[in-house]
Amino acid sequence: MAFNSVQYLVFLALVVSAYPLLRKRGQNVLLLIASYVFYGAWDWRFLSLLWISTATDYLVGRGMGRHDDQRDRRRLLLVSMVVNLGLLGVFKYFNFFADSAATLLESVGLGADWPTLNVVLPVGISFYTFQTMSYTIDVYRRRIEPGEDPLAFAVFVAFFPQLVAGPIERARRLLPQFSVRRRIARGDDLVTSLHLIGLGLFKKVVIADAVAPHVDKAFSGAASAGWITLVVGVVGFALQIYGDFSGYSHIARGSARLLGIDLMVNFNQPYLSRNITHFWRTWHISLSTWLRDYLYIPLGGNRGSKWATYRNLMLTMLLGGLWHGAAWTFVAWGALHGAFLALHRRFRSSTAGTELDMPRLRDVPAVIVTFAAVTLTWVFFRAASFGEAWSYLSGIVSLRPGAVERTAVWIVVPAFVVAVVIDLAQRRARRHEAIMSWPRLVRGFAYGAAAIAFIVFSGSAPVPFLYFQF
Amino acid sequence: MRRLIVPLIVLTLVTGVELGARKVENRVPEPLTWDTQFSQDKATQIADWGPRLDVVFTGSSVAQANLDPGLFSTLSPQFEDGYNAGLPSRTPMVWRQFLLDTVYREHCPSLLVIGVDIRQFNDNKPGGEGQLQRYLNSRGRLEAVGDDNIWDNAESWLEAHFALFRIRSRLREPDKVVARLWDIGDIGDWRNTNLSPEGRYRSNDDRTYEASEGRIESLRNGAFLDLSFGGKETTALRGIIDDAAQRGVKVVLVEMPTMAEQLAGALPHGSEDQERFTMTLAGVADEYGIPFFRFPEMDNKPIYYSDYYHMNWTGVETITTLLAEEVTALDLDTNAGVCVN
Repeated sequence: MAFNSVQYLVFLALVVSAYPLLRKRGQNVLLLIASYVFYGAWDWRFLSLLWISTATDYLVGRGMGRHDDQRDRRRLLLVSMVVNLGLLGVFKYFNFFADSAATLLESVGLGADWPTLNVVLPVGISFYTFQTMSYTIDVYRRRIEPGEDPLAFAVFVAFFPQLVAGPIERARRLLPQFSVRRRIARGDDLVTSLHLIGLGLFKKVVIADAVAPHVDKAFSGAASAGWITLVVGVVGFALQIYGDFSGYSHIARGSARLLGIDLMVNFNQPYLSRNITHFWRTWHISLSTWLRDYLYIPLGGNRGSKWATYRNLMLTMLLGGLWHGAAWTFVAWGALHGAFLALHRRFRSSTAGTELDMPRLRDVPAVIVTFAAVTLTWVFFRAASFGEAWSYLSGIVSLRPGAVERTAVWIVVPAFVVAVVIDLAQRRARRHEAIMSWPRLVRGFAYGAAAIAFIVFSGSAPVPFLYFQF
Repeated sequence: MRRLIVPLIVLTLVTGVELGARKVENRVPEPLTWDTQFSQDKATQIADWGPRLDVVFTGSSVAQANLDPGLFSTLSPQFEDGYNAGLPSRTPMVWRQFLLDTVYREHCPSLLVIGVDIRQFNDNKPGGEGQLQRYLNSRGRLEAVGDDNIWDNAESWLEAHFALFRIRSRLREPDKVVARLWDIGDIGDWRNTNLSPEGRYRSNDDRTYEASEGRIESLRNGAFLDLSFGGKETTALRGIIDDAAQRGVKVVLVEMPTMAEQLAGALPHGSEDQERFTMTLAGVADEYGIPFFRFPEMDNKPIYYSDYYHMNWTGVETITTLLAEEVTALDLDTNAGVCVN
């Protein structure tokens, strides 16, 4: 059941309608049933993985609560890691590592013919395993108390608005919200929730889905398309992945807010960043902070020598890349980001400001350079293989001649302008639903234009959210 | 009153655009409701076809452009009426579904000719699965097979009443709208698909052979990327044969000739891959006991081709004649198949 489907809107309306009639426990029962229905609509068989993760981490948390001995707690943490990473390993990474090892052995003249698994990647597995692992790690570190109510804990793991593509919430933020009775959104809160959902659908349908066919065409013609088409294609992909994923996050936040639950902000106008560090503080914030807290800092963070810091950055981003997908192209994407972050750390100025500052005119070159660097890395993220990525990049660098895909230009350029306008308005207002504070006249024109664009770009076959595959 | 400003502006804007859409509607093509213009045009041609259809051709752009049903019927008069249901850039998974959704819903042909080349059998071809999904979910197809849901019906209602909904698929190509309305630029594929009444693509007929290194490079990193066959596309080929057998439709499998020497340059293991592909096809034909034809005498002869695999009229005439001779020699029973839906 995708967010950009009528089924989801009907489903959400039903849940929201029943919600105020129930007390706290009843609300949690409703959310749990709704979440399992939501997830089971993709493939009910994978509900068992969700249950394994939930039961393991609940019991591990309770066990840690009963043991003071650090060695016992570490053993319990190990159980949680083995189960969660084991699920990820089997369902997401087994074939990747098996194939890579076989290729390596073949390259040194040793044949390896071991079996691969014929399994489908369960939707959202990377998101909910990371969320539950953060819970057990935080309990282990005594940052939070273990959850007592198994029902609230099960809802924390399976809460449908953020189950399949985040934000990857922390237990200390989200779990307590399931321990009290919630009121559905009313008044301004309701308007804000609906604006978030509307904005998310707009970004998905009018920006991401509109550019998607042109991106597909550019990448499938990577070897022969002209450089302008290739540049338009990769800028289109930068827009597609942003519109798709931030759109999803807006819908998740709006849906949760309707149910009285506050989810964290996952994107803060990342393409307005003046450097790569700011980009990572505003792009997929729930993952970047997860990697910071549970990987980068435990590795030593920036507490050692500068070379140790660069190593930690690189390792964190390599694993961040691998989190996105079981392919070496994702590892390369992570490596490029690690290298950029290390370079920026080496040469950064001390007066860089904060990532949420409104860019000024003099910041424009830095914003463009950062966007170009990030867009370059998207080639590896999107390409099906290194061969395709090299073909794509060599086509751009060599200014390969070729016919310009005019329709792509006519769609990607306006979509880019619209995305920048939305981001600038949000950054200026410091809120995602910035449009609510605009004068009525301007708001009317904006809503009208959005409605027309929505009509034009809806109605084609729905494009699944990109992050479902991670 | 101030509360009404926003909805009034929205209503005015949407109404204005709807009136504009009504004004320009007759200057843009019909709404595209199938996955491609070719699927849509062919589905319409098949639905409008007369009662009898003796022979059907399926495959990709190669079968679509190279096999002429009219000429085939002239040369093999036992097959009076033929239609070419080939779909450009699509793979066996889509061919199979298209036959089920269109040809077999309306007709019970006697013979199915499957014309294939290696490009459509790579199980790792980028976008293969996506093509099938786009085809399956296209509203035109859902309506044609009666699988449309309440939302599809709502969309149909909106299209019936509002021009903006009718022309929205066309507005997603703004450069062509501008080109059509103000004669600036090119309308590209808004031109007629140039299909014959029997579904054959005719635009290559007058062309002469032209090689292109860029095309080879593109095949290497596209259709032949991580080349692997024997999986889902071959399974779909078996499915096509099973579907036909279930309906009493005879099947012949044809490996279409190409400029094979040039194409080998795009294959990861060159001509070895080509041989492996031929063996795979022969294996499938053996498994089902169906005739398998190859015409190697047409390979690598530029006179027949407009590019590496599409033929000009000389090629079309030659291969259709050779095929008609082979099929006639089989002396097939030409009673139409049994309609099973």
